[in-house]
Amino acid sequence: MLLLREIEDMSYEEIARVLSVSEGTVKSRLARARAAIIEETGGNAS
Amino acid sequence: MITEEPCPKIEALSALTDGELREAERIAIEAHAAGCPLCAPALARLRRLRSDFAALPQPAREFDVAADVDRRIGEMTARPSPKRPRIARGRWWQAALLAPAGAVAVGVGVWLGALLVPASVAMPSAQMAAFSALPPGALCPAPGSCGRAP
Repeated sequence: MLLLREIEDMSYEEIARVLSVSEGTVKSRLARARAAIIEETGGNAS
Repeated sequence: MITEEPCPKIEALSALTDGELREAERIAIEAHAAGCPLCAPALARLRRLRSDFAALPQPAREFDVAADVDRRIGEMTARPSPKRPRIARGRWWQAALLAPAGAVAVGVGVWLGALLVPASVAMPSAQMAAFSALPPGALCPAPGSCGRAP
């Protein structure tokens, strides 16, 4: 989902349609994925 | 400016970096994050993560394999297939003789095989027992109780 957003540059609506989930699910899963990455990298993703 | 309103969820901050919030919500959260000691660094980290993704090298999408595929198909169709068996000129009469000879050989084989089998084959009783109403090994208390003639 994160790749669809960041690499494919798809909107929440497009991701929801492609993955057959609601936009709210897209929103929450993206946030959790980002939070996990930030957590893993200690806030220094780069 | 420290705001008193509760901090937005991480989902809202994440959606803010994606530009997926409605205008009123975006303004409210940006105003809150500007003065919130928790949300400001969180939003900054989310934005940095987005910019890091944006900085990743993009795959070269201008690469097109269609021309290469067309070229290879052209090469394959241009040269004759080496595996196809070809009958040499002058040998066509040998192939013409072999075809009916093979047919005759198969026909004779079928005819000889048919001679080995009698016209009417009596099925042995041991084989017919498989179709009996009694299962194999079943005990019969009396000769007439199992459907057999006494």
